[in-house]
Amino acid sequence: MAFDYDKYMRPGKLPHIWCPGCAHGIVMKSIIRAIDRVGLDKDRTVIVSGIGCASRMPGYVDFNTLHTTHGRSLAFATGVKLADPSLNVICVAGDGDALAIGGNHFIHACRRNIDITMVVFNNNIYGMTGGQFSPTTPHGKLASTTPYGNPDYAFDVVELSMGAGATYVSRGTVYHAVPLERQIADGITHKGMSVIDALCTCPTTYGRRNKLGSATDMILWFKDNTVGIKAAERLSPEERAEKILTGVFRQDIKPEYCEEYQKIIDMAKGA
Amino acid sequence: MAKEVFYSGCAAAAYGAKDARVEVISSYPIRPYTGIMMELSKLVANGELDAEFVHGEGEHAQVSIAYGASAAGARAYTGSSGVGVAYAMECYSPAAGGRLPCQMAIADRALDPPGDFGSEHTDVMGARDQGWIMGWAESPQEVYDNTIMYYRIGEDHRVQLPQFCCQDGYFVSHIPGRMKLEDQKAVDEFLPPYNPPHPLDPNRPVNHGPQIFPDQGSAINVQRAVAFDEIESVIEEVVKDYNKQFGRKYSPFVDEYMMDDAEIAFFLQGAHARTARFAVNHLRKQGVKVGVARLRFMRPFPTKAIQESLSKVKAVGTVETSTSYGGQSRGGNIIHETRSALYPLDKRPIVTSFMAGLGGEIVTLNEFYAMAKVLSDAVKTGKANDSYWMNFEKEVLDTHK
Ligand SMILES: Cc1ncc(C[n+]2csc(CCOP(=O)(O)OP(=O)(O)O)c2C)c(N)n1
Ligand code: SF4
Ligand SMILES: [Mg+2]
Repeated sequence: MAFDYDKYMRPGKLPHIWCPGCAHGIVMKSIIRAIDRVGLDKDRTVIVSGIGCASRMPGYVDFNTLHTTHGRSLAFATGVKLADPSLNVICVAGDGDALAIGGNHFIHACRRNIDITMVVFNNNIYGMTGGQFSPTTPHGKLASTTPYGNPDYAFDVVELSMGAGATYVSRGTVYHAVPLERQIADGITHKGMSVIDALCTCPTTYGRRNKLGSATDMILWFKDNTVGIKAAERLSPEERAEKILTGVFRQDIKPEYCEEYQKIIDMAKGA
Repeated sequence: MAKEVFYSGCAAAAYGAKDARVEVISSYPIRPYTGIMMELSKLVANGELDAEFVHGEGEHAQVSIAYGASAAGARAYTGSSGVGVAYAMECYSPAAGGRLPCQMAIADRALDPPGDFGSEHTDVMGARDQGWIMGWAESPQEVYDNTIMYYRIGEDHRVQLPQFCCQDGYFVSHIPGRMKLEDQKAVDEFLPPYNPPHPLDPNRPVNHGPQIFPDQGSAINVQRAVAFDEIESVIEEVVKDYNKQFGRKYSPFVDEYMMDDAEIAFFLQGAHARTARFAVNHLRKQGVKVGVARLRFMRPFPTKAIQESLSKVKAVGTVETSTSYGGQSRGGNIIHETRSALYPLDKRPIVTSFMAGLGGEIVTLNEFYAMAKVLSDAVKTGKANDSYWMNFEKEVLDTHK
């Protein structure tokens, strides 16, 4: 039987604002299926976003949703989670939102290991504002602000998250929607900060300028240019250097922020 | 060579910055300001403007970059809109207190919630008391001209202050108008390179932004206030020179339309003044003696010029386009200082305010007619409310809606 998305949507809010061919919808659906897979109670689940095309997602889905300020979804979410740690808190953010203006909140949420699931809709560009380069635009690529190629080097979201202390870190793509769904589900059940680097596409402001073909070509590109970390072990170093690695990079058990905080409260009250 | 063009306010700002030969540009996209940075990134990439173009990671970084560049002695240019202007708030007082004359282009936009992209002056009006020069243009031409004039005013050693060079989002920023780009040589003559009095220099080390004790604070504050005492005469000088060199007709502070024999007046800043003048043309045909006084500078607030202009009429309506919730007038900003500027006069007009053009709504001709009716009634009865929220209160319903 086909998956019933309607159960989780706000039909009155459709049609959405995303361009035809935009892959943000694939990430949204992966999140919905992951929530369904884990069996979260809609009323006990909060989805928080910042500003951007990706951040429009909470408007379309039927949970408790917060559409906040640019870059600050994790700060708002930290407030939500600390006020009521029993809530399931999921953040959705674009690459610019999560890593440029919101980069500071990002690393500190990772460091605290707070039990939030952060899905980065990583399309390598500021989609909403017209294709300016973002912290994940690859070196040399064209953006509206880098007409002769991007001089900066990109963040690797996975390495950044691990370095900052997130305890569940994975990377998926919109071509591999089922593994992506599984990663998001694992991120939700994981106790601690989870980051899912969801590689997706912006055909309108990134694909066209960089001549990456149709919206479908851009999604198919992930099929040929990514490789799972297990399969990558069989490749030569040269072959591996050509590919983007996907899969689960870290899944560690470490003390979670709200629980550690509760311990202090209990101790102080007992004293 | 001077050149006739058909440009939006965004392009006009970018070309103003180019002709002012800005040396460091810091950007972060947010509409409607995005149009300015995109135009500049093209000019830099094409080699038409020799400047460093830095893409910050947010507006806070953007204004900090402009501060740094200005401290190093460069002519620095940045800009933003709406929530971006608000996000950089922390940086405004340091730039003014450090007396760093960088310029920030503002294409205004309503603040959140609920994520309305329309024009509203509320964003940068929130920063009006930080010590920046601040004023609105009503057309792309005026945006271009102000960009150049503001640098000369701000960089004058009697002043040394940063500038918010503002235009209405969309109404000016995105509607092209016929305008003139001036000859580069003539602009260079008008605006010489920035001569910073205390640049960061390894051979002559200086300290910007040192930690101080409370008893030193007021001394620094008073210097900022004194700069604003000097500024009106500098502005008069600069505007006069600009008018002479480029054949413009700007009055320094208050741009008047049919004010000489007017009994009532609309007092406002920015693009809605253009609609107000159309409304005046129509109302005059019906015998209503109405005029427009357009404020060209919000900071400095030109008390003397306002007294001269508004003392001619019996009732004034400030058209607010920004909010001051919980304030004395139940809404607006401009009314408070306008009343206080007029207070010392023996004969002063009734002053009321109209909450209009919020969230980016057009202030329609009908709304101006409704305002004129309120003002004419005030002249007859000698009374008016402190404020009227257009289309929400019975006195000012737009019956054509
Ligand atoms: C403080 C602030 N600065 C700038 C903006 C303008 N803005 C809106 S979305 C956006 C970037 C979006 O890029 P990304 O986060 O990658 O999301 P995408 O649109 O690509 O999904 C920016 C800069 C804003 N809303 N708030
Ligand atoms: S601009 Fe790009 S990211 Fe935004 S909706 Fe369109 S395709 Fe998607
Ligand atoms: Mg993006």
